[in-house]
Amino acid sequence: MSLGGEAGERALRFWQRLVRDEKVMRPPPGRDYQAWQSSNESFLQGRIAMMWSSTAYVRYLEDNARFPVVAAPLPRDLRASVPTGGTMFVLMQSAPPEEKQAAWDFVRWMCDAEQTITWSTRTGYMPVTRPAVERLVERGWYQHHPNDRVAYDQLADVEPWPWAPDLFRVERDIVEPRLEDAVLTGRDARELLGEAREEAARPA
Amino acid sequence: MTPRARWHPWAMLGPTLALLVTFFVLPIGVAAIGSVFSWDLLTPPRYVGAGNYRALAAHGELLHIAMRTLGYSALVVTGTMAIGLGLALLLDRPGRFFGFVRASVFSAYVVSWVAVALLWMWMLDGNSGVVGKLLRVLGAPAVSLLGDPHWALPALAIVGIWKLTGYSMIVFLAGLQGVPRALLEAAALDGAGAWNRFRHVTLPLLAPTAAFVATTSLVTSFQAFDIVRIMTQGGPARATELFVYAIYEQIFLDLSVGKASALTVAFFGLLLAVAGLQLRVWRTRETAR
Repeated sequence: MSLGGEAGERALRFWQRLVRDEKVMRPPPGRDYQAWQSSNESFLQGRIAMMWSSTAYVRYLEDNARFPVVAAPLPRDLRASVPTGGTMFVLMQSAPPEEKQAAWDFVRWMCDAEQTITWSTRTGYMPVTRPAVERLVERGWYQHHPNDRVAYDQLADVEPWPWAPDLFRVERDIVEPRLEDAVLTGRDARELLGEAREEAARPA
Repeated sequence: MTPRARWHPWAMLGPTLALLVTFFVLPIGVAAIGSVFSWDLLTPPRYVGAGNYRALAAHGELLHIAMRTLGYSALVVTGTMAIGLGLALLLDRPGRFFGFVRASVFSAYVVSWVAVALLWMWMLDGNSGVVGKLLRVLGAPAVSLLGDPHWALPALAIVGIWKLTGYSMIVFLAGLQGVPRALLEAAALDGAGAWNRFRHVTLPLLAPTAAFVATTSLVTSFQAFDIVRIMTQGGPARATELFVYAIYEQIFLDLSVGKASALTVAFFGLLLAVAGLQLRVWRTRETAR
């Protein structure tokens, strides 16, 4: 696991500079959903001009802001690189065949073009199938809702998730706390990322 | 009194013993076993020996959690005791007004932790909170107390103190009723001033009450979970990760049952040590008398 190597360190330093030296970026209080929510509130109250958030909030922010909301791709340095996120539908390998069939039917229904268009246009979540996007283009949806297009266009720069049984543990228990440490307490980026790499290599 | 059969005492102890074993001894045993495995709730557990403990000891994680919990408890216990005693002395007077104030102070104790946490989150909010506005008026730099790694834990302790002070005040008020007026009058006749009467008559007689308040607020502060869960989720930068919340986080957020079990065993050890210390202090006091 490299955590971006040199580039990762530089990105983390940039983040630290924004928060600690230039004080133009404010880490929200709380974690997880509380952090998302308080960022949303600060943005809607006009106390912050920009925020990093989820496509899940696009429609919510557009509907509730008293100013025009514009979505933009993530900033980049050497090359653009974007993570995907969100929750997945999972089919259990060990489930009985009829359950697997039912789960499959459900996933097919969720991914059906019209169905995808319904949930994606109402929330801002990215549509997950090409036919759905093609239909949205045909209907001229993106001309009126350019913000919905941003996440889709960023798929060109997406990095696939490094799926591994340990991924979740490494992310939650090893990497995230150290990113938080770097930004909030100002500990050295290289030291922290090195520590994280070492920790992640240790068997759970 | 001797029992007629040897099993009689056991039969009488039985129900309590069964409850103790089911809800205290067994869970600790299960946690102890779980602590030597690595288990994510999905795949089969794997034996790792002392691996979980080693992982907790590395980079001082366990030590930090223990120190944070002890620090929070120390703040809450001293705060509630000092303010509770002060309020009790101040409000130990007849009259409707004092009765009203006493009831108001106590009312915070009746409110649920969740409501208290939500209320204080609102007051401590970095943007629109009352506390932040007050600090700005006083010329202090605008900090979000809950978002600052140095202030978050003291802020939680203040909330804990606010909530528990009413209780300690009531107990101290009850204790004050047990201080005989005659002793205070005698001391006054001997020329003792207000401070000396308090220091040499009231305070020694309040010692058992103080011990009771200290124990109960210590227990409550060690259990702190709700305010952490609601107000900070252990953040920022783990500054408010207290023991019970850390255990919860390991199981339910990080899906690491082994580490959570190891933390539980360590927490049990810490509680045992604190209880032992307390017992010792009590015993030496008893023999000193």
